[in-house]
Formats: sequence, structure tokens, C-alpha cells
Amino acid sequence: MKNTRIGLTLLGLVLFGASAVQAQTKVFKEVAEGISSQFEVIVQDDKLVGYLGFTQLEQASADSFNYRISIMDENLNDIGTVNFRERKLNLVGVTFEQDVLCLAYLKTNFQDVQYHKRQFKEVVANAKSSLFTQFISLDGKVKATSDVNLMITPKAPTYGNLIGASLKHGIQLRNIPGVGFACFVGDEQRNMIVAYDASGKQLWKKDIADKADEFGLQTSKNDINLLEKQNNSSDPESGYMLASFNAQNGSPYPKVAPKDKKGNDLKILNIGNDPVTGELVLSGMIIDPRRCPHRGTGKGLHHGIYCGVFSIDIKGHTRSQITTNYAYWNDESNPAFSKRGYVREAHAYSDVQSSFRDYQGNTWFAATGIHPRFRTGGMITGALLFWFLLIPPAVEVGLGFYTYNARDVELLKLDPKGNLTFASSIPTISGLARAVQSVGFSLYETSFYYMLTNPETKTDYLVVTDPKNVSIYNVEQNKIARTIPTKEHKNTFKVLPAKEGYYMVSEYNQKEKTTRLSIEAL
Amino acid sequence: MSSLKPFWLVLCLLISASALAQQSSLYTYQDLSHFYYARQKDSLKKAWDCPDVFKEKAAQKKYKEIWDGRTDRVMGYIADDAYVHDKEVGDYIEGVVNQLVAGNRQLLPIPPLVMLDRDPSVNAYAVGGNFLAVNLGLVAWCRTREELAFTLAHELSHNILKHWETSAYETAKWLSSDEYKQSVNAVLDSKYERLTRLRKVMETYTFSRTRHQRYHESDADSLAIILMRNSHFAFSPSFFQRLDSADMEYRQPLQHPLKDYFTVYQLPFDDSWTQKRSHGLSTRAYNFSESSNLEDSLKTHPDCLVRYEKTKQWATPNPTFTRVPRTIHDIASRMLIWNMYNSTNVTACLYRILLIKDQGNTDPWYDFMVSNVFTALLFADHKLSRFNAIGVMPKEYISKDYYGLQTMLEQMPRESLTAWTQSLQGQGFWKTLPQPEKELKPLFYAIALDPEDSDKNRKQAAKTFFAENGNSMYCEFAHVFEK
Repeated sequence: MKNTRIGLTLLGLVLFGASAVQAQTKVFKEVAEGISSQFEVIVQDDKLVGYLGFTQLEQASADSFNYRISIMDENLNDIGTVNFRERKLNLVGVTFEQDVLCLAYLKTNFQDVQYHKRQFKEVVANAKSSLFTQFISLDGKVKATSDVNLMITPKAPTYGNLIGASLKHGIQLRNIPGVGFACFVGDEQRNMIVAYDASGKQLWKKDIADKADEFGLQTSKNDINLLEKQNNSSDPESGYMLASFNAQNGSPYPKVAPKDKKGNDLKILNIGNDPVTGELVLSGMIIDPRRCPHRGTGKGLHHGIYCGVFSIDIKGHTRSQITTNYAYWNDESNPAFSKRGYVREAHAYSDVQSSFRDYQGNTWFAATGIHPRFRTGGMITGALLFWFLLIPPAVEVGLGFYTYNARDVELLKLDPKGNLTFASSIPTISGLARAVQSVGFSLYETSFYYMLTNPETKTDYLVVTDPKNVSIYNVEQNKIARTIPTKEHKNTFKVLPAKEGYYMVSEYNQKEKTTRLSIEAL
Repeated sequence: MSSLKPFWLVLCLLISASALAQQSSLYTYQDLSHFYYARQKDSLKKAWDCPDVFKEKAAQKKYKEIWDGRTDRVMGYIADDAYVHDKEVGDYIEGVVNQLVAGNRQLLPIPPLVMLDRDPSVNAYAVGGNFLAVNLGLVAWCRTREELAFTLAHELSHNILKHWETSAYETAKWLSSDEYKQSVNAVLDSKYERLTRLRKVMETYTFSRTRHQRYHESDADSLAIILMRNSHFAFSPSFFQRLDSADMEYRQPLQHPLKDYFTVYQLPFDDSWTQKRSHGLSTRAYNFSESSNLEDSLKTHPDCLVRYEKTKQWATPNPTFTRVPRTIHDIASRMLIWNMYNSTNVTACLYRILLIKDQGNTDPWYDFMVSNVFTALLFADHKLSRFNAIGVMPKEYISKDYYGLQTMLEQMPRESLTAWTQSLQGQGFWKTLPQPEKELKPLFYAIALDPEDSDKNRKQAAKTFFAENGNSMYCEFAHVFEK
């Protein structure tokens, strides 16, 4: 009969037996040390469709390595493996289209090579690097590969002893529905977009002449969109520009420099697709033109750095195909908000971190509530200090009249007609520090949040994590669907996005050094 | 009226068989191996003292490591309750073994120690030292006494032919050989492809071992047929044809639409739960067989069809086979289902229940288990472990019905799952159950439906169950909550 246990026993003993001899132990240890793995999600149309394990097995020659790709479905079941040999690869993204997996890597002949001062010049002279894309069909065959040369100068290590390689703008990979794949990358000389069809054939390659601090790639229907954030020294939150290209031939469409009808700059928080139409949507904050040196702080919000929110639907490339939706609070037309954006019902300002479009056409803005509080005690103490210790009042004024406490997640809803309402507040624990005016939000916010969708029920959820709980909030029903106490799990617990309509629970067992994964319904 | 007589007779037989099935009790808590075989553990340890077979110290040391490793492993299985003693099933297996021993006194001078493994896979194994383990899955799967006898004879043959001992000897010899040391050191000296080289070293040995093992399997088949013949058991090579599909339990389709199995309990069923809504890779037509299949050289057993061809000539002419008694099958399948449930393998457990229902079994114990499955699923959902409890299997290993069932368990909304659990815990079949099953109900309520969702209440309910039913096999389950 099938002698499984004996088989396992013997295998175990073979390994155990071998490890008993010191020299052999060294072999196993060294071989294991050469193996490195990374785990990536496979994404299509911004949805998770599977997982991929990428393992560098060993160095195969002076300039090549053996690799293994393990492909898993969305339930973490193995569906196959692919082995191949290549130069040093750094996997940066995986996407899927028309039953083909596209993997994008940064390929170099110098990354992670041991640094020797004498030989470094030679390494620099012979440096080669490229954007390497690999196209794998669902029968485990590498159908095509592509190399696009990049200009990267090897970097001597600042710590450790391995040579580094970094791009000016990291590789971004997206699938183009019904077409293939798009890749953006920026090296020391140029920024470019490369488009491929689903068989891996390069459709076109285009250099992006614009200089920008950041780029964001998004594909929608038959377009490839590149959101550029240009440097604007007078206002670091503005300077956005949208460039779009025809996915099939790369021909450019007129650029869009988002501004509202009054000419105010827009801060773009989200570039995504409408879940119903698949068309491009931009959303974010309308920037108040008055200059404010306190951006990113409680005082800045108190000062009124934003005058409202917006969403822009880009259905085509003519002016009539762009629908805008602006909602202002600085004109005092909305009783739910003060002139400076104070949400009356929540008793807080909104530090909007993210926005998304729902199935009903509403645009939601998720924000950390910033609660101002007059420093009564501080002021009295300040007066007393002045009286007794002669500390100048300027010091006290410098500290500000208010403290700002970050607490709760607020949801604002902008409906398709342009009505902005305060939808609800999801309770989270208060920030530990009652920060003074000049301290940035990021230092005292205690929660973070992201959006998940159940396409079947057309319901959106906001996953809010604070030090005590993970709350899964049903946006449409305006209620918490599930609260998971994180303290029970001793800080080793994470709730991550998973396949559509599900989230992944990851729990690390420190004692056993294992991670338990479970995919649970929203 | 006379034409109705056979009908009534069949009906009466069916009812009596069903009643018998209901009466047959399962093992007790104290029958779990860590209790029941506590004494045998010590005697087994003494009996398995490592003999001196090598002159070289290093090889003997290695041999002892392997030898003691086997002892530790079996002791570990006993301690972990991998085995269970069940009087009826145990007696039945012992009867078959005794007949084999009686017919082969020269080859089998001492009856072997046989243990019943709780594993659901269709398997049995010998590890030398006159020890034999039979999986519950095999007992439930065998149709005839002769099929079971052949499996046992095959495993006994491994022991008679000292296959385990030979394999351990060869492994120790190889691991302490200069050739092995040199090849491993060569890996250390190599700059590139260390893993490939190391794998080659291992594969050379594994290939040689599996090739020998395949010869061993053929030898064991041949000797098993002789043991069978000497003991007057009929042999049919068609057993191998059936064995070929033994791991296809979950590829077997159901006889009725999935919905029908639940609407009998008046549970509101939504067909959309069984329809996969994911756009993930599991729904795509993938086929990585070329890059992912196990190489033939690494298979430990010859193909069943090859074994059929080889043993065809030894078939007993005009054989008569004795069916495994219904009570044995019933006990084995109930133990199997309970054990699967206990290890929170809910989809497989539920699917087996539905397959048994397809056979016309109306024993309320299976209704009790349907209720327990949904209680476990709801509890797993509370504990963020529903996915693990379901154990989602890829579509290529299961039937369309199994796929539908696991999709349903996955996609069923939490509210419906709660409503089903509530409804099932209030069904009439609970009244017809024996006392221990009935007394589990408060514990099941505390596990999944108690609005307080309190560990304290669960512990109390488990303690109460223990106090009243200290011998019940369900104590193993209650013990988890009592802790």
C-alpha cells in the first residue's frame, strides 16, 4: 500500500542524517542562505486574482541565477510552478490579462554584487540594466520576454557590502482591459511608457518629456493615463497634470491640468476607475488660493487650506466628455460645514486621506477627524509663567491657542448632483499626543484605513485599523459590520485586501514562527 | 396481499439494519491511543531495541538514529491520538489477521500488533518490527473481507520481507559512505548551482530508493497472494482497478441537487451561494501539468493497472467474497466523519455525510452531524477562520457537487449561516438521539449561538458535558473548550 509515512520518515532522516556531519550542515546552511523569496499579489483591473511566490534559488553562473515562480489562485491553492534562469532580477509587479501573466522586473548585472573598491569602476563601466517583462501563459510556458534598456549608475553601498541599483521613478505595471499591459519607468535619463499586447509583443514605447516629482499609472478602457505631480514650490500640494495615450498606438490626447472653474488648484487623492462604467475618475481636495505656511498641520486646517472637494469623470478626450463635480464649503452655502471646513456634527476638521467612487456614483472621502481644543490650561499656565518667571508671551503665542487631537475616521459623501454631506464618524481611539500647532498630522494619527469592495452586493467597506481594533465599516449601510480586537492577537494581526468581496486575516505566531492566513467574507 | 410480503420483508430488514446501525456504539474517550496504548508504548520501545548490524561506528550510529526515529515517530502518533481502539472494528480486523497468521505459521510465527489509524485516506502501512497500522479510510472503503485481507497481507509481506529494515540499512550505509560525503563536500566547494547539485545528490539516492521500493511493492504483492491462498482467502486482481480510484472520494457526484439535502430541514436555500462569483485564477482553465507533475522516477508505487496486469494470473477461479458487515462500515464511516469534524475539515466531512445519505441511510446521527458542521462553520466564522475550516480545494480534485458545496459554505452570508445553525439546533431529530449526543447540544449552543459569545460559558458547558459523559468519544471535542 501507499507508504506515505515511511516515505516522509525516510526523507526526514535523510536530511537529519546529513545534517549530523558538520561539513554537510554547512552545505545545507549555505545553500539555504542563497535562497530568497518574495510574495506578490496578482492584480487585474485593480482586483486581486491570485498570488505569486518568486524565489531566487541559487546563483547559476557568474552573472545568472536560477529562479522559481509559484503561482497560486485567489484561495492560495497552488496551481503551478515555472523555473527559469536569468540575470539578477528584482520583481516589482504582476498583472493578468487574457489568461496571460505579465511580470515586470528590474534586471541588472550589478545589483547585490559584492562591493570592492578597486573593481567598482569596472562595474560602473560595464553596468547593464533593463526593464524586463515576462509573459507566462496558464499552461506554465514563458510565451515571451522583453528587455528595454535603462540607464542606472551602480551605487556604492552606504552600509553593508552589496552594490545597489535604484530607479528615479520605480516600475509601475498595469493591465489594459482587452488589450494587454502597460509599464511605466523612469531612469537617470528619461521616463517612458511601454505597452504590450497580451502575447507579449511590444505595441509601442513613448518617452515622457515632462519633468515631475511623481508619476502614477492608471489604465482605463482603451486608455493609458499618467498622472504627473510636478514640483510647485509655492504650494507643494498642487501641480498635477494628467497625460493620456491611446492604448493601441500610443497617440497622445490633450493633457488635462486639473483646476476648478474658479482657477483653484486641485489636490488629487485618487486616480481610479468608476466601478460601473470603468471610466477614469479623479477626486480630491480643492485648494484654497490663500497662502498658508501650515499645510499638513491642525493649524493649517483651522486656517482653511481647502475650500471643498471635487470629482472629475473623464469619459473621453474632448471638453464635453469631462464631467466635473465641485462642492465648496468656503462660500458658506453648506450648513454642515464652517467656512474653513469644520464639520459641525463631528466637531472636527477633516484631514482627508483617501477617496473612492461607489457603485451609485457617489464619491466618498475618508478623513481623520482633527479635533481642535482651546488651550485654556496652557494659557493660564503661560500667564502665570510670565508673571513669575518672566517667560515672554511670544513663546506662549508660538505654541498656539489650540491643541489638535486626531480621533475617529470621518466619511464625507459627494453625490452625483454635487451635494456634500457628512455621512458618519467611525470611532477610533484618540491620538496619544495632544499635538501643538506645528506638528504634522502623521505624527499623532493612530489609525489607518483603506477601502474594500464586494462587487456582488455592490457594497463598499472601509477597513479602519487603530491600536485596539480593526473595524470593517459598511459605507452604504452606515454601520460597523465587524470589529476585530487586535489586542487579543498581540500586535501580530493584520487585515489585508484579498479576492473580491473578501479580506485576508494574517496572524503571526511568534512562538511557532508561523503565519496563519485566512480569507474571510466581507 | 401476498405480493406485498417481499416488500414488507425488505422494509423490516431495512428498519432493523438502520436500528442496528443506530445502536452500534462508537469508541470511548478512553479508547484514544494515548490512553489505550499507554502500556504498549513501553513494551514496544523495549521490543524495538536497535540491533548491531554495522561494524563501522558511523554507519551503526546512523542506523540507530533511523531505527530510534521510527520508534519516536510511532510513539508520537500514539501520544497524539492518531490511533484509536474500537472493539468491533478492531475485532473484525483481528479476525482477518488471525486467519492470515493461522494459514502462514512459518512466515508469521507471532501475530502482529495492529493499530487503527484515524486517517481518512485509503491506506495501511507497515513499519517493520511486526507492527501494522490500518487507516479508518481503508476500512470504510473495502467492500469485501478479501479486499481488506489482501491489503493486510501486502503490509504483512513488507514486514516478513524486512523491507523497512533493509531500507533503513541502505539509508544508513549511504549516509555514512565516502561517496555521499564526497558528493556533499563537492556541493560545498562549488561556486555555482549549489542547490541543483545538492538536489542531484539527493535525487540519485531517492531514485535508487524509490526504484527499489517499487520492486519491494511487487514482491509484497506476490507474497500477499501466497499468504491469501494459504489462508483460504479468494484473490481478485480487480481490487487494483478499484484501488486506482480510491482517492476519488470527493470526485464522486451526489445523487440529488445540493439544494435537496438542505431543504429537507426546511432551511432557506439560495442557489446563488453555489455559483462562484470570483474572477480569480481558480476559475480559469489552467494546466501546469507539464511543469508541475511528479516525475515517474520519484513514484514509490507501481501503477495500479500495472499491478493488476502482473497479478491477473493468480486470480482465484470462481471466487466467493464476503461483504464487510454493514455495522463495521457504519461504525468506520461514523468514526471517520467524527474525526474529520474534530479536525475541523468541514466540507469533506459534510460531503461524506451527503454521500452516505445518498445510500439511503436515515440514521439521525448524520442529521446531528449536519447540524454540527454548521455550528463549527459559524464558530470558525466568529474566530475569523471560516476559510480554513472549509479547506477550499482546487476544482480539478473534486466533483462539481463538491465544488458547489464548498462555494456555498464560502459564500453563504453570515446571517444565513446563523439562521441555519439556529434552525438545525432546534430540529426534531435531536429528540431521537442517544444521551451523549443530546447532552452535547448546550455545548454547541455555547460555541456558536450564545449571544454572550463567552469562553467562560463554553468552558462551563464543556465541564458539564464531561461530568455527565466522562466516557463519551465526544469528550475529546469538549476537552478543547474545557481547556
